[in-house]
Amino acid sequence: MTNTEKLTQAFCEALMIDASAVTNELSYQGIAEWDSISHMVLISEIEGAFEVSLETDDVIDLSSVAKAKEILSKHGVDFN
Amino acid sequence: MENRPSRLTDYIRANRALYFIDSSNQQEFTYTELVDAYVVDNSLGLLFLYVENSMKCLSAFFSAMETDATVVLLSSKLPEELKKNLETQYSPNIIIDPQRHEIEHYQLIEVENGAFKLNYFWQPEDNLDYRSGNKIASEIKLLLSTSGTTGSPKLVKLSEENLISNSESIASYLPISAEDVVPLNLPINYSYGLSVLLSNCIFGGKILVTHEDFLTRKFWDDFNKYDCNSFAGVPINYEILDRIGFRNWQLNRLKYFTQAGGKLSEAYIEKFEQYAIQTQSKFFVMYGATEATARMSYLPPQYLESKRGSIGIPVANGEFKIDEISGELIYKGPNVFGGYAQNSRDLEYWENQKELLTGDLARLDQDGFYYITGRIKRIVKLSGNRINLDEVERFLAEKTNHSFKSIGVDDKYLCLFYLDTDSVIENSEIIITEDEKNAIKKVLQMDFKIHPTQVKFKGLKNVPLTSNGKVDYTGLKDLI
Repeated sequence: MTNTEKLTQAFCEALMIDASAVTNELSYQGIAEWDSISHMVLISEIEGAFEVSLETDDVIDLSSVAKAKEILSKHGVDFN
Repeated sequence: MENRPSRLTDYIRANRALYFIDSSNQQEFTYTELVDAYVVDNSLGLLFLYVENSMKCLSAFFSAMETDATVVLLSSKLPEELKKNLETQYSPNIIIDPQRHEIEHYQLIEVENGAFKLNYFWQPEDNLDYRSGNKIASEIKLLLSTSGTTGSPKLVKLSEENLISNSESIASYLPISAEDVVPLNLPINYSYGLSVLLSNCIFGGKILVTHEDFLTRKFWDDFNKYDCNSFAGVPINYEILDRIGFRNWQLNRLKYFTQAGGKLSEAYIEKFEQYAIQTQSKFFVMYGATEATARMSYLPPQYLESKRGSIGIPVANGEFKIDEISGELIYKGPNVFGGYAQNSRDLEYWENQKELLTGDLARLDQDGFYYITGRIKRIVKLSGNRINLDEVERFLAEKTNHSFKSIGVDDKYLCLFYLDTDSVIENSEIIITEDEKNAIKKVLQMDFKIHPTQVKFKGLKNVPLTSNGKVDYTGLKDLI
């Protein structure tokens, strides 16, 4: 599985949404499914999937799919 | 006797320190500028206001509160189907909704005045004027939903006196002052969020109008930028703040912070008490209900340690008693609501009930502090949302082919029990597929705001019953 697929899966599972809904533009509070509670579930999913530990700033800044990629890149996860 | 103004908005108008700041564009407004934006017809009748925490919605809300209209305050995020259901039950004379572009039987009226253009003001089509049909008791000023998120048509009737007296009680124990800046981080259609708004409108200073929540960078940047000095949160907010390491953050002007909307576990209370000590701020743990307009009691911060886990003492003008037989906590005060409404006919009367049965079991210690020991009603709080388990069961019976019995486990998750063996055909298994389970989780998320990870399923051979043939929910709990 590519990292993009892994990330998409993390979003699907945390937000209970279809893979087709996981676009770069998808943003926090942009859809009813992505609220503060599912955000915390999403953080654990991402941490588990990529074996990273996200800091306060990362948790707050992870406000879109694009942002998630940017943050994970900092942690050495390659999306290209 | 001194003549007291009878309208909430008279108290707000009298607060010369009051300003509203729009976090999205930094514009500032006085209260007068806000309410003068709309000249609203005084014979409005019933006004449905679907709000988000925006300046436009505040403007519409206060403009309506200035008139004789009865205002139903609801979340603009409600699914359309639920909005329609509510409107069918109540036939509102006006609908204000920033989310919808079309409402059946209603026509769009453009209202433009001053700084605000309100492009979501709906009136019934000409041949459908509900005004003559709606008779509303004069006491009813505002209606709120008991749960901020579900579309149950059950609304709580509140009066001007309810709103004024509760705001006064709150301001008598919270250190609210004219120098304050308070962010509106909770939805204003939620009684706790509304109480923060109203008590600060009357007694506070600046109000930062924002829809950002604790999990956004902008919220905390704005918090320091505008010198905010308080915030309010439900238990899940505090759990999240703890999880993201909030306690290391520097908030320059923090004076106090409050918690309500369910029980915050003692471990968190202790952590945030430490945070308050470290930042020289005050942490208020509070207790309330929409049926009490918002607030019933609070724990004075100096007792956070010695009375850990207590809901504290009643607010000014309120009192508690514990029913000798049932052990139920009963609240008495001028902020007790005027009954529930399920449809427009229920708006014809105001039930003057001075006592509120809280549904909670409580004990009183020798120093006059109250502690919640359990619940009478089948209600669980998941992530700050009140969820009526009987309602969940009825809802699932309608939406699925299965019959579920539900219980809440430690306010952490919802367990749905179903029969996995057919009672008629022997040895036949009933299977609920993963897809079905996911579909159920999805509808519970949409309609009850229960996160999918907070729903668990468990198959049973038979449902335990009590001696009088009712579902034995205590027995179900033992099966977990």
